[in-house]
Formats: sequence, structure tokens, C-alpha cells
Amino acid sequence: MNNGFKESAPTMTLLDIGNVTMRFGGLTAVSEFSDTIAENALVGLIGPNGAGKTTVFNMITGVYTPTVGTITFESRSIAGRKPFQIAHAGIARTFQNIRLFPSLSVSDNVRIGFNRLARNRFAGSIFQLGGYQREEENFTRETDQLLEKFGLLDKRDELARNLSYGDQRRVEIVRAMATRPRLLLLDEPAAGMNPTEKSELMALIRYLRDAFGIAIMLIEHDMKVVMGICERVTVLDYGVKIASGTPEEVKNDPRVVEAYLGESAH
Amino acid sequence: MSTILRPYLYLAGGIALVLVLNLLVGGIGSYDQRIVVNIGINMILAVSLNLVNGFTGQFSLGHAGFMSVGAYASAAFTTMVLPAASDPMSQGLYLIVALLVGGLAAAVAGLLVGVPSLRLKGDYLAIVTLGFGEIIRVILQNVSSLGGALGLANIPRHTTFLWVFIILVFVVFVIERVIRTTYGKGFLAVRDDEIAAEAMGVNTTRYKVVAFVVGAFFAGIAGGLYAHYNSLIKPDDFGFLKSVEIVVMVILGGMGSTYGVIFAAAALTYLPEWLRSFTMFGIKFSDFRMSIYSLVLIVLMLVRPQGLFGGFSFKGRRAAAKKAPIG
Repeated sequence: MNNGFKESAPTMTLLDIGNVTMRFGGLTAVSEFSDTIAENALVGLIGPNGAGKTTVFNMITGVYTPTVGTITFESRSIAGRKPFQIAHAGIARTFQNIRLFPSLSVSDNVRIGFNRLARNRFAGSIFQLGGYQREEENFTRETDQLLEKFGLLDKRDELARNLSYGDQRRVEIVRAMATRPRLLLLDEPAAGMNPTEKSELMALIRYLRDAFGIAIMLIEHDMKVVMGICERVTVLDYGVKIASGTPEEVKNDPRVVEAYLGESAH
Repeated sequence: MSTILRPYLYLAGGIALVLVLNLLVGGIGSYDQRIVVNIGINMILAVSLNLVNGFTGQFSLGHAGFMSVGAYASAAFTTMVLPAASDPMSQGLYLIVALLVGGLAAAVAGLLVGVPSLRLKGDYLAIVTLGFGEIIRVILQNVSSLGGALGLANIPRHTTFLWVFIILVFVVFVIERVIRTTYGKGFLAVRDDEIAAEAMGVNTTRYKVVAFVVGAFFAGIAGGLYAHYNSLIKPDDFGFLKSVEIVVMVILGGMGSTYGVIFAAAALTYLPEWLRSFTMFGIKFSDFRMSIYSLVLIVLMLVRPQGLFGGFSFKGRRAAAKKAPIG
């Protein structure tokens, strides 16, 4: 019995969303939504426009506090905590409309991810004593290593606003990785990409999961991407979870088909 | 090793430059000396406001308010607490203590105003800080122990050219140094995208409060220098127009460019004085010098909306230079 239990639970639950509801005045954006993300999982969150997918992300990352419900990350409640505290806890994200720091260089964008680790605050930054130089050198080295892994090292001195669209998307992912997350939330990472870029992105997401051992949840409209890489997919429609399962199961679920294509003919 | 020492070389160079200039200033008239000292004080104000408005992107319109808190606190301390100083040595010492008192008082004011109001953004924050400046002015007008509307008089004249510019060098050193560190990049991140900064683990509220408090501290020191130079301070010296004047220096110099802001502070302080005596084609410009001042501002903003030195950074230039041959 004991043995059987051990084998059936090799993966721990990383994130547990319990019955969350988000209301904005009279509008219920998300209603009684529950989901779990296991460690090292790669899951998708899909649904028609306005289904409440980004609202779910915003609740997880603390931009919104759920009206009702609990969110637990690594067995600690995070609902209602501030976004920067949730980032410290180990959840990083990218944004639907890219949000880089446009006037900073690529390497400084990534370096911001290390900001919370900097032990030298204002006074320490003036005097720069003790381990200051070593700390900054470590950040520089780690920044360069990350940029190299993602093939962006030659762009490190460019200002973020001068990068191509695809590079901006990649820098946003690298920046998120600099915070050393356990869970990465990607909000429409393939938006605006051409087919070649999309297949590169899929390889990149798999690489992130395998090389860094993190869990990834992504919102995506491109079904090729979602079905191609996600192990499990959750479907939202009008703020309600209508299906959850493997891509195959979800694809054939009549409720999902209805949500996307409308009611079937009589 | 050289990268560790280089900032200190700049610091030493700055101090050496000030010492040399100090010798030269001894030879100019007292009217010109007054202009030069005012330029220095305005530079400190503009550089410190640049931390709030330029680097952190929070639009504050209350810098003169913090300046007045520092001016009154330090002046009251010198006139009411400290004994009279006769020799230059103790004058300098008393000035430093009084400036610290003024700076700390302004920093406390910055904390009190900043914590509740920094949740506001853009225009709303500007209005709240403007209101703060006016409140301070009205309070000072009505406190009779601080001289009321007539002002606080007989403040010993301890401020010299040397003190003003040495302090300016330190203020520039502190801000330019902090802004380059991993911690300091947080200010720029808050300015560029607050939501993204927060998502990257940057405590944006904390950064805004720190910028506000440090900015207020330096403004308070500038106020203390002003008080100990003019020996008479009135609430009206620190009105809304003074705040606007400093904001204009920051915008004209280029938000977030310390050296641009220093240049703009010098130019905008000197320009009205220069126009006072400027004559061309038999026209005395002194009669409408403030109109010309305004005209210069309008033209500059039309020609260079990003400010004189705005958008200028060595990294950006290098990147642009690297790109050029390919295109």
C-alpha cells in the first residue's frame, strides 16, 4: 500500500487554485475556477477571447486579488500578496503585450531579474564596499550566461526598444528566467510570430522546462502550439472551466467545440 | 581594480575642479558671485528632482516645498540652537550640522507626503505634490515664531561658493553611482514599466518612496544652503513658481540625464540675469527679458522635446554606432 502510494505521487502539486472567483463590479470575469499545476508540468490555458485567461494569470501573479477562493504555491497561500512578493516566491511571467523596459539595454532588462538578490541597497550602492564588486560580477556573468543560452548575447548592449519583435518576446522570457522561477506563466508567447518562429518557440519552451526543471503554464490561441507541446490543457469559456485533460481529450470534447464554433447543427 | 577606482577619480577630479574654480570666483564681483552660487543651488535642486521625475518617472511638483522645509529647519536650528560662530572653521562645521538638520527634516516631510500619495500616478501625483508645496507655504506664512509672511531674518551667512559646489559634486556622485548598480536599475525599471518591474520582483512602492525621500533630503540641503546664503528667507521664495522652475530645468536638460540637467540649471539661472544687461540694436532686453526666457523654453521644447541631453546615453550611442555600417 505504502509502495503504491509512493509510486503514484512522484510529482508534487506546485500550484493549487481553489475555487477562485473574480468579480469587477457586476461583471464576473472568472467564476469558481479550480486547477492544479504539478512540478515540471507543461500545461495550456485556452479559451475564446474574453474567456478570462489573462485574469487567471493576473490573479496568480497578484495583479488582482481574487474576490473569493484560494491560491496556494508550494503549500503557501499567495492570494492577495503583492506581485513583487509573488515573484520572490518563485512565479515569473511574460505579458500578452510585451512589457520590456524599453530604455534599458537587453542585459539591464535581464539584470532587473536579479534585483531582488542584490544585498547592496541604497547606502550599499553608494559606498560599494565588501562583496559589492563580486556580487555585481556574479550578476553580470549570470546575465551573460542566460543571454548566451538563448542566443541573445550579441544583442546585450542594444536598447530593448530597438529589438525585433521576436527578439523582444525572447528577451522577455529570459528576463523572467532571471528571477529563478519554479513556475513560468507565458501569456500568448506565439502571438505575432510566423510559422518558423513558432516552431522555434515550441522548442524553446520545451528546453526551458527540461533544462531548468520548471513548470510552465501558457495561454495561447495557436492550437498547433498548444496541442504540440502541452501535456494537459484547461479550457475556459465566459470565466467558467468547461474542460480539462490531454490535448486529444479536450479537442474532442463537445463543449469545447461548441465554445469555439458555436452550437452544432440539429 | 581600475573600475573600482574610477568613480573615486571622478569624485576627486570634481572636488579639484571646484577648488580651482573657487580661486577664480574670488576675483569676480559680488553680484556675479551671487549668480554663481544661485546656479549651484539650483543645480543641486534639479539633480535631486531628476532622481524623482527623471529616473523614477514620478512627476513631482513640490520640490520647492521640500526646499523650504530644509531652509526653515536649518535656519531655525542655526539661529535658535547653535551659538554664534566667528571663525571660518566653526562656521563650516555649524553649516554642515544645520544642513543635515534641514536635509533630515525635508526627508521626513518627503516620507510623510510620499507614503500616502505615491500610489497615485502622473497628473494626480503632480497635483498632490503641488498641494503639499502650497500647504507648507501657507503654514510658514502663519507661524509667527518663524517670522510669518515677513520671513526669517538674520540667518548667519555661512554658505560659500566652495560649500555649494562641493555638496553638488557629492550629490552628483551619489546619484550617478547608485543609478548604475543592479539595485539602482530598479529606479529605471519603475519608470519604464511599473507592472513589469513589479512582476520581476521589484518592490516599486519602496523604490518610489526611496526616490522621494532622497530627493527631498537633497532639496532640504539646497534649501539650507539658500537660507545661509541670503540670510533672509520668506515663504514666497518657495512658491509654486520655484517648483515649476526646477521641473523646467529637469525637462529641458532631458529627463534622466544628470549632466543635461546640470547644464539646464546653469543656463536657465543665468539667462534671465544675462538678459538684464543685454542690449541689441539699441533695444534694452531687460524690459521683456522674461518673455524671451519663455520664448527660449517654447522653442527648445518644439525643437528638442526629449530635452537637450535626453535620450543620450553612451550605451545607446555605441549600439547605434555598431548598427550603422550594416545599414
